[in-house]
Amino acid sequence: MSVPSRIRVALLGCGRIAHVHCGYLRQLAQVEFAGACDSNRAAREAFSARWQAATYADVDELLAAAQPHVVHVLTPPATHASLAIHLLESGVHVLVEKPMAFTVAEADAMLAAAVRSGKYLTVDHNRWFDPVMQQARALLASGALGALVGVDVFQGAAVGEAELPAGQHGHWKASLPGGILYDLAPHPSYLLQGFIGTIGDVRVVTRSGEDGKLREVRAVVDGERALGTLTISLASKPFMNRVILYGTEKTAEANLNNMTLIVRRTHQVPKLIGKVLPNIDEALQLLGATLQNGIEFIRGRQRYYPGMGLHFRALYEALANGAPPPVSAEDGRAGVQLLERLWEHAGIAAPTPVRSVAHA
Amino acid sequence: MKALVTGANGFLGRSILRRLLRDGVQVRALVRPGRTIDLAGVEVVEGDICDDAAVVAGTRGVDWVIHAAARVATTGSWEEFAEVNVRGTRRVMRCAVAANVQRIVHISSLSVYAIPSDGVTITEEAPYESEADTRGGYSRSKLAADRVALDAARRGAPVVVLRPGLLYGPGKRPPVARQSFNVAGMKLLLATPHYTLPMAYVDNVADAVLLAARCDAAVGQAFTIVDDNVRQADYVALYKAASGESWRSLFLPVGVVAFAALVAERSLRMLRRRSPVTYHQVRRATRSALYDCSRAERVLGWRPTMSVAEGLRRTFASLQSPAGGPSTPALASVIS
Repeated sequence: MSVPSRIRVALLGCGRIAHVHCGYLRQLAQVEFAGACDSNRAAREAFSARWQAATYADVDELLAAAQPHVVHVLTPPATHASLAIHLLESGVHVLVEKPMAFTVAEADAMLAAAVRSGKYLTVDHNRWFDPVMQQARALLASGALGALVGVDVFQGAAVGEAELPAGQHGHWKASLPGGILYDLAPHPSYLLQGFIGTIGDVRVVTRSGEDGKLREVRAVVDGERALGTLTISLASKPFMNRVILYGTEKTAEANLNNMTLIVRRTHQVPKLIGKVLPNIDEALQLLGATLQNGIEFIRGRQRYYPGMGLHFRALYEALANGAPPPVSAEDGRAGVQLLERLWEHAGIAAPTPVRSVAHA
Repeated sequence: MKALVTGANGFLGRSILRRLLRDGVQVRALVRPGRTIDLAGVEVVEGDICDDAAVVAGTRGVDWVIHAAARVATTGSWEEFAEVNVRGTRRVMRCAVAANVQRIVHISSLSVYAIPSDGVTITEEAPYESEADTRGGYSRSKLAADRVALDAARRGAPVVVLRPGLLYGPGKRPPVARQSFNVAGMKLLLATPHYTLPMAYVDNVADAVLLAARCDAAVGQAFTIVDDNVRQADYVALYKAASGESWRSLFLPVGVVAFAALVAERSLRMLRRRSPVTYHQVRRATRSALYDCSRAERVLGWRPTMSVAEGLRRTFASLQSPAGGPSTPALASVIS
């Protein structure tokens, strides 16, 4: 066969997020969807029926029959390391869903496998690519905010998410040592780490509910570029996901739920007007962003997980041009490092990695 | 020499059995429980390729494995196709390697090839079909099985892949075109007069199987097996001459049918329903390609011994009654 004109991409895992991945991958001209794999027949059949795609029962069947160039690992995080290493050693590029791994040791083993195989390893840090995060990053890079001095990241739990049942019939997320909190933490961790750089000192306080399960986590983090705080809250309402960048000139607040960005500035006006003008300024910015989002929704451009689509677009443009992925394996490792420090301070042990690769 | 033939009860499988027996090869046939083989001198092993124990028993002690079994139904879930065509092929490869056989001949399909434009010449180096997902379970699973077989070859298995053309021969009424409809005594053909049909007489393919089994230089390679690329208009004339039938034919406007399929596909998608025929299926099935078999001639020493005219004559002679035989299948059942 001749040199492929398109990148063949396959999914490992046919759960809920696989449908989102597939939807975005099918929009990319440089991608040929190669198939998906899951040991669960019901999940496989549902995926195949919806996407008219070939599905396979185990990893090696997927590799032999679909012969992908890239595989997205969408299985529970405890399996990420062993599966990613197996895939890299089989000669394919790998994207793993967040978190890359539970421990730095696992992440290091994955990195070593990537180096040995000469294949790319990347992580789906999709929120880093959300439109509002891209706007915030662009503002920071342009110098419009001045020098970055602090970053606050707040992650809440969606309605019902904190009460997911655990156990045999529950979701794997709820069975993690830190409960659902363990699953919520990766997004704010990589966002915070991405802005403040290499992590130094970390101070963590936590509070558990009456059932003994962790409900609230607050961390103060000393980063290479700025100080940061990270809050994960299961109890607070309403559900919020926010990132605030404090600069020496301006402050930007990204609301990742409502997809709005507000920039606060110093208004050189008399004190009385200064009490009113910032509110009007914020209100106008919110109104403008909301109208813009409404138009985008009507045009069919506003979808769930918008950052994922933009991340994949950047990733496959890079791979098609022979360039490295926009999220490096080292970026993934840095996110894991912060997570590991959080759980270490909170006194929670990392889940045991699953090493079998016989079935994804 | 001793050979196991999977799919021995199929149209091609029976021809392969006869060819092997004629050449003095001992033959073992893997047949599904309750089925028999009406040829003398064939050892029968009951079971199918979805059954590990049957495949292990079938491959034990043979020199060659001819893997001709496949699910060729036009309906069914992907899992049903994958179980036979993909997992079954993996199982045959694995068991054959474990049994230390000298050769595995995998029967694939021309449907694995992409046909990017009309009139293109297709060699074995042509890329795989990249839109297989739009073409139904059979095409998708045969493409996956082709990859599985060549992957096994890369890992050291003595595999040869044959990709035969449109099979025809005695015992089976040949199609008039890839897609045709009978309307008021007239045959409506979904093709252009210049469309080329990649015809493959079943015994010519059986010859290629035997050559592939004997040829060490063929290991790890795929071969296109097509007797002739016959223009649709010429084929209709040959068909009428061989069958003695007289009917009028009309070439349907391919572009209009493709557009109608596109409209149906998009409309049904909005209703969250699936169209029985897709635009890509129509375009793929009506796009003409010239299949180059020079590799099979050069490496295997294969040449078709039966011309299309003579093959059709023998086919209709075997059917005895020109009016008999299966009717022309419906559009959705032959586009894949």
